[in-house]
Amino acid sequence: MDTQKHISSAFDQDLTILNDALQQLGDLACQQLEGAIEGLAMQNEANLDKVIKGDAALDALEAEINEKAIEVIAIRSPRAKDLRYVLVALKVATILERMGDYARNIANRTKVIMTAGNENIPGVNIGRMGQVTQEMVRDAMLSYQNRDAEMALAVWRRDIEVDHMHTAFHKEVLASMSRNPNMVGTGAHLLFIAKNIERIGDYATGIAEQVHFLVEGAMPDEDRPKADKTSKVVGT
Amino acid sequence: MDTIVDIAKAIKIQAKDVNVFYGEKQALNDVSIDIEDRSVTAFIGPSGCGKSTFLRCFNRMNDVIPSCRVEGSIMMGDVEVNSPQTDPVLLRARIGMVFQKPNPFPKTIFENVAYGPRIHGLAQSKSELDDMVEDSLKKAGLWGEVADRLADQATGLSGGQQQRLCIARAIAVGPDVLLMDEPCSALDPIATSVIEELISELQQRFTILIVTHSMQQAARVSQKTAYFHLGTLVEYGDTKDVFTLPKNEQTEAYISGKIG
Repeated sequence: MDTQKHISSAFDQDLTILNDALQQLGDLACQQLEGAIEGLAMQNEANLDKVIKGDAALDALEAEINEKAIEVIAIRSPRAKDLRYVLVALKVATILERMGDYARNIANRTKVIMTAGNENIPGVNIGRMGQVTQEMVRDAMLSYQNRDAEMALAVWRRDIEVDHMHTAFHKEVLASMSRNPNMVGTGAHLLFIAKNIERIGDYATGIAEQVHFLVEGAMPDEDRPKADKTSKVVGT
Repeated sequence: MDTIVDIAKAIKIQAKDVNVFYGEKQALNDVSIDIEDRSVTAFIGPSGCGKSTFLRCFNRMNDVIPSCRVEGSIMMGDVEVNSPQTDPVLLRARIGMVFQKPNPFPKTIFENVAYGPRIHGLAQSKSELDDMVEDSLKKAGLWGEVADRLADQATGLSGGQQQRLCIARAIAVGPDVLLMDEPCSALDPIATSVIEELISELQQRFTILIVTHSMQQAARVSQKTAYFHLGTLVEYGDTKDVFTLPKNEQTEAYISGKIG
């Protein structure tokens, strides 16, 4: 938060409420993601159910943030950094809520995979992918908390790691499916899960871009490195 | 984007190193600014920052304050506003002014507008004067409301109408520039919107300088904004930049409501 206070203390209070709610939403999204990745790795149904049920809290908090942001715009007419602050809160809240949706989807698909009872699920890369993505989301929210554009840029550049892992995992699953027709159903869900994790990585970079915009008043001016080649993979 | 061509506007007025003193007290420090032709430039800043003092430099209104001394140059074309050779009466015909409170003469609506052209000898006949009055009232967006009661007393008009009458009076003598010193501060929000809409229309013909305490108003009506603080021009730039990404921390604090 900026140290210089507004003449209107109520304006400062409004921005604090918005900031705190967004941090809380960030924490919830991180928890949901962690629960989903852990649930996937450990095949733990209780954890997965917790993630599925927990998504409603993110939806509710996002709605609260939207309402508060609209109120601040209507009543306080924020300008310059204050305006960016409110707009960024709106965008980041939407991103975090979408991350929650992906976490829930991972949990749902993992439960389906568990009922199929396949063994030898290819899972080394997806675990690492999940870990890197969680770090990116945490660091993105930390860069927001600290208003640290450099840290945000580091998150933004890191997405290429997830892209590489996603492409590798995608190929691995396709290979597994072609070797073993019983793996087709599970493999399809795994591809979607991996895509969800890769999208969460993209969303982390989206938060990082918003932090950069908040601090510097402009989006990062370089092209983001990308390496997700799965849309070009046709088979093994 | 490549397709958008940035067409720089011509400079209408150049102020250079303007210093203003009230007795020993310096009210403005080395203010230099280029005012674009046919655009609206807003002067903003906290009370006592010098914005109204600066506005009054453009048509020598500070001459009427005995203790006031103005230094520096204000060039409009090849006319030096501050030169002793420049006749302030003729200057004020080229650079009209609208004040905070509407101040119509206690005369008819027609006479308020006809006064300027008459004393400057701008009309050769009654019908020409009638045309000037009608034209000015139309430009000020008031004709439709007063066409059938030109002989009524101007003081019977509403506040917003009186202010538009004052604008008609100012433009009746054919100025290039209009100075507006908080022209809406005595008006309700509806009358304010009407004046702001009028300012946007007048900008097609006139160069407008406006002092306002309303930052929303400055953002709405102007293309350029100048922020003053303690007699110094702190920042001057495109209004959209000043209100979204100001370069100076003082400007940011002021437009964000952090200093009064």
